[in-house]
Amino acid sequence: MLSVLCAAALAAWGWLLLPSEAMPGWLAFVAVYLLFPPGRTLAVLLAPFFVAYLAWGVDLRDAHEVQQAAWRMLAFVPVAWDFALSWTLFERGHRWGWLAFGAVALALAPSGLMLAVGLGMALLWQAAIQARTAAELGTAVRWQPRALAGLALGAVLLAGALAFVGPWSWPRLALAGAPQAVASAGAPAIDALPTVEGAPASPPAQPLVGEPSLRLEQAFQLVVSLVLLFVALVLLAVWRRGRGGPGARWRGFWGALLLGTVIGLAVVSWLFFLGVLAPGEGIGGGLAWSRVAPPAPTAPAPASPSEAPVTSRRVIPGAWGWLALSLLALALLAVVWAWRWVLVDVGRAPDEPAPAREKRSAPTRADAGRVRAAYRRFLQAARRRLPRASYETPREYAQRFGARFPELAGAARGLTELYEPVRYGGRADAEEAARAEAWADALEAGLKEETL
Amino acid sequence: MIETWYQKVKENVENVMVGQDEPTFLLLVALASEGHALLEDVPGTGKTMLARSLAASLGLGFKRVQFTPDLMPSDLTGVNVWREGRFEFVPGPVFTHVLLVDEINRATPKTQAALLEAMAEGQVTTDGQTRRLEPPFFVIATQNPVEMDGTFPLPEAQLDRFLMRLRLGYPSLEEEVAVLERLRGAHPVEALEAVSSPAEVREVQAQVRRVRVDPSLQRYVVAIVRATREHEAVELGASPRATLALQRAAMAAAALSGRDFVLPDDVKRVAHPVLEHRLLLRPEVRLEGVRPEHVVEAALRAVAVPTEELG
Repeated sequence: MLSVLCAAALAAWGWLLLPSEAMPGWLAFVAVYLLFPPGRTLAVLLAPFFVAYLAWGVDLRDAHEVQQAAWRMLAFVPVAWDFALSWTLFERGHRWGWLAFGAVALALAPSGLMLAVGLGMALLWQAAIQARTAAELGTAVRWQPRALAGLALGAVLLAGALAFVGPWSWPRLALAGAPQAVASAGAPAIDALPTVEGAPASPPAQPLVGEPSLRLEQAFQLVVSLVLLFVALVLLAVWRRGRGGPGARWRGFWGALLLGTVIGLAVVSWLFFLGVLAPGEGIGGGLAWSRVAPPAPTAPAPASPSEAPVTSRRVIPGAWGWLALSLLALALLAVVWAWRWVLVDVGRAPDEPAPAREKRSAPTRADAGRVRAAYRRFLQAARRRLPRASYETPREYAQRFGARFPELAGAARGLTELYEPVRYGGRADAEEAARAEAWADALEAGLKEETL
Repeated sequence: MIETWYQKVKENVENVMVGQDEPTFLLLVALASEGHALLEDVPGTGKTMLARSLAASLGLGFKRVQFTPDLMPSDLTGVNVWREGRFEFVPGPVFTHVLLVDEINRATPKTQAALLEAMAEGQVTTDGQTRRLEPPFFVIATQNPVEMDGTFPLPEAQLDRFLMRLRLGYPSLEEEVAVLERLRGAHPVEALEAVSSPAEVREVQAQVRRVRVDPSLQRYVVAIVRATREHEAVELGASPRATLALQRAAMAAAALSGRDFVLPDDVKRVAHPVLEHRLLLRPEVRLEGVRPEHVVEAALRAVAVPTEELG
């Protein structure tokens, strides 16, 4: 409770006192996530708001932008939420993590259909999260296929409606239907799409003159924040490893080179995506969707309605933006993959037993969930060969199991001795959780050999 | 701490008793639970000796009362006598720590009721004045299940006041030989030294109250007791007091085993001695040979142990 209050105070301080150029929401989110582990759940739940602030450059303290900010955040919340949760779950090594990132990438595409598909994938991802959480808590998940399918269909329809209807629509779709800029003679018309039927093709359209919602220095701050976050996570993992728990495991020069490559790729992608390297492209150049740029001073005055300057309607992002988006998605996947492969060996028992510590780590719900999940794996693995009777206690079952499979008796007894204090005593720590998982692995392997 | 206390008391009792590990454990469970125990077995199986050696090992005050039909309540609780111009209270044998009541079913219901008031409330009332009994107060009552002539069987409501009922049983061949060897000379109970104290026993009782019981295990306890009520052979099932007793005994069993949380194994271990004497079976099934232990065993097999659901 104290941690949550501290996190809330820190977030409020960052939000209210720091200037908007310092992106206080993002910094507060990173600080809360790193400094207050017990408050991470709350931080993840609030992540959409921070990420919306980050991505759209919204300053909620500016009264005249509040309304627009609200619409933008409503449209962006599912995607941002998905991103934040997926990162958290990737840390735990969930194999279906790619679904979430796929959903993010699809939802970023300026199409109602793609948005709906993305949200559908996000829904699937949420179901995976529920299953994972239930497994950690040791409870069974009973799927209701019809209800789930109905929920998914409803979510997709709702997402589609949100993408097309009124002020709820995806901002960049609204952009496509609004006059944004005027043509400028002599400028390359890479992205100009003449959309007024029958309009003359000349003079060529001017490049868009938008007002970037994220300026260059803000973009750099963003990149620096991301890099700092990544470095902090690495240090955290190394520190955990140093304390004898599961943590980082360096894999030498090639690992570091790969890590540097993916970080660099991510940085370049972000710069493209934010319109820093290619002005007028990406979110950074396209967010001025409600503002009409003034006509260029060199443009000739129209002599008649038929000679009026062509209104350029652009679908943002353009070619560079698409490239940046693709690179960004790939970079994110690479970063996560690198995080898993290069650095971290999460959830595995240490190679050697850790030295006994005088002060044990505080019991956590996640550690207890890991022990219970390990015991469930044991019960499931043994279900066909020697199912547990409903009236049997874990200790009685371990005894019967040991009598039937003498070579696995020690593992069954060891896992049961770890499970009992968790299930009935409300205690567990990371070390015991890792040992329980190791026992469960041994039992699964042993039973598989017995079967063969 | 409690496990250490249990081990040293048990080892001390073993200087006298042979092959009575489980009854010793259950008696200490009853004491740590602030309950009372009823020893029911045939004569000569060591009921009195177990109670004496336990009291001596614990360093507690010990009194023994042989219940007979002419025993009056005042013989148990004490009387006011006229001395030097005023009434003076002379406390009865109930004012002690461990009270051994031999043949409890041979006294009249009036005397039994006086004892049961002391057991339930930890106090006695004489001539309108109430006096507290110094804790710990632990009653070990015995009764002979075979000689029922001239006895006043305890009604179910009074049996319910005992936390548990134990049977010692006959020793095995080797154990009986060991008894012969041990009692060849002077009786070892005379030389038994205390390894505990009343204050230590009170601390043990206080720690037992702090043992954790998972909510799912509380439901498990309730389900077992309810299963005894719903059994077809039972005319009167275990009461809610039995539910409380089962939980408290399981907490003490966990503490004596060195844990500060209860396991389902603890519940199972104490279920029989806690529940059996509280069940009243229908006459026709008694004739068929069904006994309370069968009902308790059926209840334990009918209720699922809370562990992990596999879906």
